[in-house]
Amino acid sequence: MIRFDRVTKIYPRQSRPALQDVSLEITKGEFVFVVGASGSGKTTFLRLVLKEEKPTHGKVYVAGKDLSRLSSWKVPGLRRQIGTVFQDFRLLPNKTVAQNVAFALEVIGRPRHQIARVVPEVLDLVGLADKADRLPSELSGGEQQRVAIARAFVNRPMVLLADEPTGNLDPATSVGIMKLLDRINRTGTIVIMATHDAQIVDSMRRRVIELDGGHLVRDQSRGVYGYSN
Amino acid sequence: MRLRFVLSELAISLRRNLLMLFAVVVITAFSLFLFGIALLVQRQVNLSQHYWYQRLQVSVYLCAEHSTNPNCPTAATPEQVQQVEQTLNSLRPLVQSVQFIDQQQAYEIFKEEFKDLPDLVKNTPPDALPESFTVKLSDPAKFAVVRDAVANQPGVDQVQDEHTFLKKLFDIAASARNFAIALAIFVIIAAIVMIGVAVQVSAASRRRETGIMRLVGASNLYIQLPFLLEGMLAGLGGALLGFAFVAATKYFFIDRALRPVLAPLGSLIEWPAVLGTLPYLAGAGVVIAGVASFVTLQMYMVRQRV
Repeated sequence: MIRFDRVTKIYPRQSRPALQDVSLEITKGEFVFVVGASGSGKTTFLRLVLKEEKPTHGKVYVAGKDLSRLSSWKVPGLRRQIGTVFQDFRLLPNKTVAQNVAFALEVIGRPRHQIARVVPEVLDLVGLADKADRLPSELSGGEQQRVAIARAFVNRPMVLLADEPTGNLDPATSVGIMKLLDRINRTGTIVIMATHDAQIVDSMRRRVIELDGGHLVRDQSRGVYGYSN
Repeated sequence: MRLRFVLSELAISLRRNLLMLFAVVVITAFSLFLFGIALLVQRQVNLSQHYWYQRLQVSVYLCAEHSTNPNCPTAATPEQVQQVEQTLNSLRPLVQSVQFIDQQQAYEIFKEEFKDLPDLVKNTPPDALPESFTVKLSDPAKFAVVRDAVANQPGVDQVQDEHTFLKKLFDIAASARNFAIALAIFVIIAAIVMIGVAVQVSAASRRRETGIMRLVGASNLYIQLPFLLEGMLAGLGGALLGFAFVAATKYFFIDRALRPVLAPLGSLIEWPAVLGTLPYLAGAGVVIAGVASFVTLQMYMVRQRV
């Protein structure tokens, strides 16, 4: 489903590669944690999947397609199959919960009757059916992240990328978010989550990919966060 | 394509960017106003040229008794007069008509022209005025052909043409038009820069939205269209305001101020001609603004990954 083939990424004006010679494969239905210190290459890894960045060497394949051969006007099509969630939620402050979720469908030209049907469904899935008309500022951090997840998932993507989704949340709230991501994973969606949160990784017992200075140093199928750190 | 969505995004963007857009509209209006004035001057020149060329005549003055011209040792003989007339007639169809004016007729015209100066008329004997041919041309611009053909013939004193004088007049009008165009181009460049800045400000103020749009896979067209429309709408607004200035110029300056003075000199531009500039102004406004917005957006997208 997602395959990295000896991928190296060197940013301009930086001598040290952000990713170095990384090869791995993620198959349908997997839940993968990407762990490592800040600057270890986690975010670069996610950006390569989205084709926000191009590898300096090597190839990235998503759904069997070589991204380096994907013309720029097809990139939106790729991104429609990938949902993305960030640490800082990135909601539109002047739109309600429902409008924030609907926005993701409106901008890809979905018909209104379809939007009217699927937005309540996905809000129900994330447990915010009763808060559809609230503004993000009226919600807690955990609830805001649920809205962001609803927006990322509303188009039923094959892959959900989450870049430190619990980074701004307290442990109890984080557990709720992880339950939600787990539920989304059970629908068959690949979830790739970059995180610093050892407790979460250890409790979930899923595949762990560890990056260190751009190198892939560990790839365990039912791993924990780390041995000592 | 969800038109309603694009339009609502456009409305939000317009509201946020109101002051910037006002500046764009004003400067675009000013540049297109200059452009419209240039168009009107051109129309006026064409109109006047037509009017005057219809009435334009070449006068071939023949030697008279007291001519000082070395070409005129004596008054033109009847043979010479006939020769000149033949030459003129041989130039048809450029020459439309040839009319001989003898001294008596010349005197009548002279009396009529200078009736306000009775002393001058009294002191001028009829035989002081030369005989002449009045020649009408089908194309007054080809005056030189007639002049070259008869100027050096024996018995011809001089060949006079109103065209030379009018040409100077029209040259002045043409430079006025060129000046307006040059100024318009200058201001249009300023307008293009303004539009570019306004579109960038607009795009920057909606970075959050455009970032999310990119992330969820909106096409570039969808992301850029509201900004493009915003720029084009400002261009259209500027064009309409510029046209209002042009119309005001027609009403206050041409009709109220110039018409009483210039009416005897031929027709002035009328409203249909003024209205005729509207499509040009609107087209120029929309196209210039559209291209400026589009180019700015492409550069901005590359730089900022909107």
